[in-house]
Amino acid sequence: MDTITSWTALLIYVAIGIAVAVFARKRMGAGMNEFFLANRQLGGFIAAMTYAATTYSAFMMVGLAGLTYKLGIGAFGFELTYLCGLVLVVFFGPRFWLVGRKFDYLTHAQLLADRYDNRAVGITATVLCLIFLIPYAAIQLMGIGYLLAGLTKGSIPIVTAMAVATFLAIIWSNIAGLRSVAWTDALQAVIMLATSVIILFVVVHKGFGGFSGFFNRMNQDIPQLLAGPGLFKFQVYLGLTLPWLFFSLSNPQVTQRLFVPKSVVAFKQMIAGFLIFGLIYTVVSVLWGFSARLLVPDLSSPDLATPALLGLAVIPRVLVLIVMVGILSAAISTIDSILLSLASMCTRDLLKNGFKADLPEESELRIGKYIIPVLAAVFFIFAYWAQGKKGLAFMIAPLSAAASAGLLMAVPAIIGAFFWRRATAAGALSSMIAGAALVLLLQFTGSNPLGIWPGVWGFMVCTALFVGVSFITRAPETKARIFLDYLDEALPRHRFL
Amino acid sequence: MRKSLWCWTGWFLLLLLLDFTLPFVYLKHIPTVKGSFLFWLIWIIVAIISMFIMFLRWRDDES
Repeated sequence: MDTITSWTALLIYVAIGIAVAVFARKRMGAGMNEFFLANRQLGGFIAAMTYAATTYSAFMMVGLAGLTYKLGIGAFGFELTYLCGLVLVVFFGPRFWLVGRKFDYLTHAQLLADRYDNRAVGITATVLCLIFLIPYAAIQLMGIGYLLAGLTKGSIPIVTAMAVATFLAIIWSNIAGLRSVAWTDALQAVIMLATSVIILFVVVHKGFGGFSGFFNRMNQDIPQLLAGPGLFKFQVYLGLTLPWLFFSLSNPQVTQRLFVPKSVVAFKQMIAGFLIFGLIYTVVSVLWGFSARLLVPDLSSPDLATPALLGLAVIPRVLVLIVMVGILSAAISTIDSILLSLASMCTRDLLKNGFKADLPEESELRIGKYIIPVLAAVFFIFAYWAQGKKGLAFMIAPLSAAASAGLLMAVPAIIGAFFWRRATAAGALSSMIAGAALVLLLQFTGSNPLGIWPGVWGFMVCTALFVGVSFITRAPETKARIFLDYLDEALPRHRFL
Repeated sequence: MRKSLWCWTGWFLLLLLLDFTLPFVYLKHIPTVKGSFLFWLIWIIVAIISMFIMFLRWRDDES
């Protein structure tokens, strides 16, 4: 595909995105809640689409497709385990929503700091997110880089593609905060899903003569990728899946979206819309990976499966362009959501609640907006370092799981906040710090003691510490009573579990 | 309400147990799309229907 056509498609996409973002700005008011949470007034459809676009990223059509290409059907189980884990949103989402409105929380770190009555808990949760979300955001940039470079055979270099994506994420998040992000996410979610479904049908029809032929070829040519978990060993499956299972609780860019639906009806629509979107997108991404395995076998890097498949002559060029925009949408919608969440945590949890309690809201918001391009630059630098490196550790899917493994260390503290009056700040702090340190140590040294992955070790250690240390330290009884008694009274009023 | 919470927790833990055991133990001898692919597809549909049952009863606070 020639460079001019690619750039033309990109420019059209950018222009439409900016128009949508500017339109969203017309509804924007003032203040931190308005900028970072759209004043907790998002409707159900927009909330569903922004949740979907934030969650599903370049990981799917590039990373998950690549994982399927290399290791087979276990990739399907891995990603569906995440979707099943959305039951955590059904359990915890209403709790986040209620306390967010009652106590005016902006971030999950602020929730934790308040519930445990300890600023250090919020600071630690924020630092954890910064450390582990930077690689995750960088992965999105890498996905874009591989895709555009692969499709244009290098005439758009990887680094240029990454730079353009970084710039767009900064622009869209700064125009109107969550309003512009949510509205552009809605546009991008529709593009992501529609393009992926269309292109799969085209590939299956042109490449295999239909789904029957496609499944027959799979059964004949790659039975080893279909039997049981495919080529996944159990430890690999567990190591990848455990952090993914808790993704909806551990990742701040998605937990922050639990604060934003304007009503219970909107909340239900958000969950329902996301579940349906997720099922379709997962099935499509995995079948896409299998079609790549059948049509373009023997690739040097599985993450090149998607660009290689899109490069086949049987696929109309206009569809390739549209899919390219779809995958770009998936990645940028995730990056700008991460930017917003991390910026809100840096200002609210690190700066204001951590060190400068009297910081005026106007200054808080201004600083938050300045932090966005700084964070984006950090994402870009990490992506620049990581791109081009070989091995399972640098593939998009395992690198995403490694990032989520670190974020997993906040989950015991989050669960304890809502269900255990005896939980203490010391338990939360020790669990997050020790768990994260262990995960980092094991990841940097490439160690999997007893064949168990870092995230699993970290989760076992942090859970044990959270429970053990809480038992031997003093609980914030007054705060726990206020927090949990409120939920006991409010949950039944909405028929929440 | 608490009993309902524990029942649903048990149900989803059972689903997760099936997720981690069936493909590795019983489905490794079925090297076709009728094996793990079909299992996981049915499994997630059951999980999604379960979640729908859980949240469709939610209501805005009419008071």
